[in-house]
Order: sequence, then structure tokens, then C-alpha cells
Amino acid sequence: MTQHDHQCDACHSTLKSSLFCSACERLQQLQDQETYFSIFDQPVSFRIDPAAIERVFDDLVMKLHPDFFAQADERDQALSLQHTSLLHEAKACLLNPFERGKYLISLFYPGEAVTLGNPPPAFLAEMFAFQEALDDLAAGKGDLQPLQANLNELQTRLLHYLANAFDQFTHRHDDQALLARIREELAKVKFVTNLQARFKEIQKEAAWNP
Amino acid sequence: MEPVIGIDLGTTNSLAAQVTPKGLEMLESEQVTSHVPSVVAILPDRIVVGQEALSLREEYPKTTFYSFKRFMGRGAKDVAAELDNLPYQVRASERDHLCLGCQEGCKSPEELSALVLQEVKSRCEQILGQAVKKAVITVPAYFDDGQRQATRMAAELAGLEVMRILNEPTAAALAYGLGEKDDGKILVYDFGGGTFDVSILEIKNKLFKVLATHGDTHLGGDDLDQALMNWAKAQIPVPLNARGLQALKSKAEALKIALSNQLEAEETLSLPGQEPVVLHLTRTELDQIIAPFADETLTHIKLALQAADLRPEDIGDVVMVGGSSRIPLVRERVRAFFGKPLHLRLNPDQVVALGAARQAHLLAGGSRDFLLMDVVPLSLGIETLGGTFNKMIIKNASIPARVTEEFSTSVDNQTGITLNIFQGEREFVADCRKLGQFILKGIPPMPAGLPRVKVTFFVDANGLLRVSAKEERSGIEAEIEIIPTHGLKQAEVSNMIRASMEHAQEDFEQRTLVEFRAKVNLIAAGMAKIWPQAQTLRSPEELAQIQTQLEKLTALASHTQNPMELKAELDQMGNLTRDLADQIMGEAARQALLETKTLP
Repeated sequence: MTQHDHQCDACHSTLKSSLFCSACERLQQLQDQETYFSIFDQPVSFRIDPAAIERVFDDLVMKLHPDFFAQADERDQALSLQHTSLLHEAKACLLNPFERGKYLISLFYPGEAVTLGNPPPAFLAEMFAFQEALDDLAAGKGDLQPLQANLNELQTRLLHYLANAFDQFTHRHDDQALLARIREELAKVKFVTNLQARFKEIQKEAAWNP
Repeated sequence: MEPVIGIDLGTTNSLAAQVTPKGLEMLESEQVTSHVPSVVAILPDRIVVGQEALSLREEYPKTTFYSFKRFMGRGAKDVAAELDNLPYQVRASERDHLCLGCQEGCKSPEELSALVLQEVKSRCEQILGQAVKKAVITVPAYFDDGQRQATRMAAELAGLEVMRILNEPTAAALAYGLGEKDDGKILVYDFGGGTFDVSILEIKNKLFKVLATHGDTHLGGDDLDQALMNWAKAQIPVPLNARGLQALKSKAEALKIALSNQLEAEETLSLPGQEPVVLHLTRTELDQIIAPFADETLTHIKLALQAADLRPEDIGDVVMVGGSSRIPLVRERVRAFFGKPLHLRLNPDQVVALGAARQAHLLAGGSRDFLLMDVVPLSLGIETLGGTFNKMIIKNASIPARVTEEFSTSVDNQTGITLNIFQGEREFVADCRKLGQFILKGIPPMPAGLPRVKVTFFVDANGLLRVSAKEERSGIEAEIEIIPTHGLKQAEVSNMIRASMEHAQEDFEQRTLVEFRAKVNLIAAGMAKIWPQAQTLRSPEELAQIQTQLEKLTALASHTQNPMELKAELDQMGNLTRDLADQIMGEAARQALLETKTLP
């Protein structure tokens, strides 16, 4: 787990959250070294604990939201607005595997645009097949369940692979071959995420118009 | 502490509430009530607001204004369809603003609402014995930016500072949330005088999150009354003048209200010089008249559930708000849809004002025992190459929200980039509403694809949007604040949403096709430029292969309708030219070209 070793800029208590002092309730200026992971008190890893992130989010937003600072001075109004939007931004990123992966790379290659690799033709062919199956589903042909199971299985496999690859990457981020593999896997995750979004839309339609 | 009150500025009634040490309370004393019918009569010698104005409706049909909330922030074209049934005139004044009444008595909907707010404010001041300057005011969830702005303007005219514009159904949930429920999902069914809204909220640890909202600003008690009027007119043997029609309208409304508590009702219409006519209506007959409207509200419920990714059984509590929710048929239909009893403890006419008071108390620094997290009603984004709409902040995202994305250029040596900002749900900007634009100037000349433009969208707690852009290599920055002045017209909002659902797949394919074609053009332009240099770098066989592939690609791009086919050939081209691109431009430029979204 990450440790916040800095202190409140008002009462000098050791901070539990980098955004807010739980001892004197003072909003803190954000430090440069903070990351999406550190503000949720999570380790820098592709493996996350979504429930913990939600818990910390709910806890922090109840302390930081601008509605609680409507009568406060300019500094606190500005900080609460900044911090709350940062919380939303960070949560959205960490809970999305594709964005989380891109963000992790950017932490080790700051200032560089994170680009995706090109998945092999076989994978693309597989994606086309899924796309066609979804077209059929949208037209009322075929079965939802097996397709969903296949998509989920594919995603689980990809995320499992990425989690392992990122475990190595956090220690060996200079390994360009490893980085290339991660970029390619991230491109695959993007494809699968898009397919799943479309599947969900079709599923909703089907649920309401049986 | 300075009083900050909550005001429900309704289509038919307006009223105020506040938080006292005893809890949430309507603002009323034995002598005075803050409850003011939203009716204004402009008489030759004075202006009358509220109950008295309501009683003048028959005597001065042409200058007694009611239901004007429907015209707030709207243009003449939006309301053309509903003017026939009004006793007063509504016409367009300058800049398409609406104006109600004749020359002498002409008022804008904002001015009329301001008169109602002023009346509410002064009554509250009498009750509290001190000045009231700040308020939270509620609007239907489906009010667009323009309608919200008009509401702010009305408050300003009335001498009130608006602490927050709050959605009515959300306010209702806040009023109910008090100590009743710790966790769960609430659906608020708000069927008011002029509008219908449905909102779904989640409560978790005192945190209220709006999951989805849906509705229709043109479905309400007024429509039921109109349908009822059509029935009533058919019962009268002779045509009626404006005054006679107003009298008939009052009788029809009385019948509707009476039938909420009994199975049949009767009213007698007596007009000068005519035989009295007895109007007799049963509950069953009334049900037949209003059933189509009740069914329409169920469709909106389904759409809201769909947006929140929920099923009816996921909803723990159903809260009924608004006068029309008292109608037995309406309650029956909603109860049957969810298969559970409805929440009716709080007076449906008061619950919105009570919730607004709760939020007002919070903003005044009074309590920290709950938090409402509101959402963006429509997606926000910018135009990218080919006229596609790149959404930055997606509909229903919690605010305050910030999103940053990186873009690049499509033309060499582009020193200025125009950013066009849009709002809507479709895939192409042509189908969305433009909010504004600004130009990022002074970028040093660079090859296409090399500039790195970081665009940031920021929506604050009041829904105000700020857009900034920074070119990372040169550090050039620009920013624009967008104050939503003339919002989407409601017809546009509903059409846009309906169209986005109907066209989603078509748009998606069209969009990818447009993007791939743009990419083909970029590649063709890039190849033409580097071709002479390429001769020295790669073998003739390889160059011939590239040449053939490029011809195949441009030919395909000009006629194919299948984005996937084009994508496959593009990938092939990418494979063939990878080494060449590496040699010529270096890694950074290549990746910028291959992977970055480009601005027009």
C-alpha cells in the first residue's frame, strides 16, 4: 500500500488522504507526486480492488464536494471543485481496464502519448466474426447467452494476461518488448470493450421488446 | 444565519419551504402562506398575482396569464402547436423571444415568473420577519440550458440570488430521503401541471446519486385538462366565447379533481342568456380520456430504467410527485408497473419545495448530513476530422467533471486549430447543437500529426462548461468559458435523443467509414510527399508493392460502404509501410500519424 508521509499544511497531523486532513478538516493542496492510485490509497498496479475504490470515493466525496464549501473562502471553494472533479476523473479511469492500462504506461513514460499496438490478423478476424454475430443478434437472430459467455471469457483472458504483464512492467518498464506486448493487448481490450458495449445495447433492446 | 429558502416554481402553483430546528417545513403561518397559484392578471390599473388573479380568469381572459412556465426560454416555433387553446395571445418579439398578451399588457414569461417569485418572496419575508435574498429554485429535470437560464433570469428580476437550480424529482427524493432510507434505489415519478419527469436515484451512505433522468416538457395536467375540455365542449350545444370557455375549463378541472375521491361527479355550467348545462362524468369515462397520457408516462419510465441499466424490480421505492399523480388511474398504472405500493406520505404538491429547502440549507452551510451528486444532462464534446462528434463528457456523468483527451492535426504546418464545441447524442456534429468555438493560435509549423493538442472539458457544480486546449510541444494555450444562454429547444432535445437511438448503428458504421476514408486520404497525401525520398530508402519491389496497395486502397475508399473491408486494407498498408515510415519520420512522428485522433 502507498503511504502518505506528508503532513497537513495547517495542523501538521500526518495525512491519511492527500486531499483532506481528517484531523482539522482542511483541504490540502495537491502534491505533484500524487497519482490516481495514491489518492485512493491503492498500490500502483493493474490489479485493483473496485469495492475499495468505491468506498474511498464515497468517503472522500462526502468531505470534499463543493456543496459543502458554498460559504467557504475562495481557496477552499477552488480546491473542493478541483479535488472533486479529480476524484470523478480518477475513479472513471481506474475502473476502466483500458484507461487504467493506458494510465499505468503514462506513469512510467510521462509526457509521452500512449499509443496502441496492432493486434495480429487472426485476432482481427475473430473480432469481425463477433461483429457479424452481433449484427445477427441486432436483427433478432441467434442466441444472446453463448455470445456473452464467449466475450466475457475473452475479456477475462485478456485482463488476466495484462495483469501479469503489468506486474512485470512495474519492475522492468524499460523492457521495450514487454511494453510492445502490453500495447498490443491493450488494443485488443479496446476492441472487446467496444463489442461488449454494443452487446449491452442489444441486450437492453431485447429485454424491453421480447 | 441568513435565511436561504427552497422554492418550487411550478406550472400551476409555486411555494416555498425551509429547514427549521424542527425539520423541514413549508413556509406558512396562520395568516400568510407562501403558496401562490402561478397566475398573473394585468389589469388596466394594477397587476394581480396568485389566488386573486386566478379568480379574474373568467373576467379578464385575455390578460390573465397562467401556465407560462411552459414558455420559459422557448421560441415562437417551439410552442406554435399549443397556442390555439389559450385565451391570451402569445407572439414572438425581438430575437424570437416570446411575449404574452396585447400591447399594453405584454409580458415575457420570465417577467411573469418573476412576479410570482416576488410574491412568494415577500410572503416569506412576512412570515420570517426578515429579508430573503437567496434561494434554491427547482425546474423540471428535462429543462434545457435555455430554460434554466430563463429561470435564473426570472429570479434575478425578483431580487433573488439563485444558490442552485435543482431538478424537481431530485428535490422530491431529498425530501423523502430524510431518515427514511439508508440505502437503495428510488424512482421519482413527477407528473405536474405542465411537465412529466422521471428520475432514478441511488442512495448509499447519505450520498444521493442521480442515475438517470427522462421526461417530456410537454406532458402534464394541462394536457389532461385539454383532453377533458374536448370532451366538455362536445357536451355544450352552442359555440362558446373566450369567457364561456374559461368557465367551462374551471368546471372540467373541478370534475377531474372531484373524481380523484369519488366515482362520479357533476357540475353545472350557467352562462348569461343560456339554459344551464349539467356536465356529468364517471371515473370510468375519465379513465378512458386520460389513459393514453398515463401510458405515455410508463414509456418514459422504461426509457429511464434502460438508461440506468435497471429493471423495474431493482427499484426499492417509488415516490409520487405533482398534482396529476393524485389521479387514481395514474397511481394504479404505476403501481401495476412496479408491482409494489407507492410512497404517498408527503403531500405531492409540497414535496419538491421541501427538498429544495433541504439543499438550500446545505448550501447555506447548515448541515453536512447528505450530499446530492448531480449529472450532465446531454453529452459534450468537439468536432473531429470528417465532421464526427467526439464526446468528451458523456450524458449522465457526475459533476463536477473534468476530461482531458489528446488530438493532433491533419494538415502540414497548421499554425492555428479551430475547436468546435458541441452538445448532443449523435455521432456527427451536424446532428448536434453547437455551443461555441475558439482558435488555438501560434503553433509553430510542424508536419501533420506531430502537434499534441490536449483538450480539457470542465463542468463545474452549477453545470457551467469551460474548455481549454494546450499544444504540448510549444506550450501554446487557449481557453473558453461557455455560458449556456439559449438552450436546446425541447423539441430538439427529444428529437435528438430519439434520433440517436434510431440511428445509433447506422451512425456508428458511417462514422468508422468516414474516419477510415479520412485516414486513406492522409496516407495518400503523406505518400505523395515522401515518395521521392522513399526511392533511396527501400527496394523497388517493396515500393511497387506499396504503390499497388495504395491504388487498391484509394479505389476501395471511393466506393465501399463496408468499414471493416476498408480497415483490413488500411492495416495491410500499415504493415507494408511500417519500415519506411520508421526510417523517414522516426518513431514519434509515425505513431502520431497512425494512432492519434485528428482535428479538422
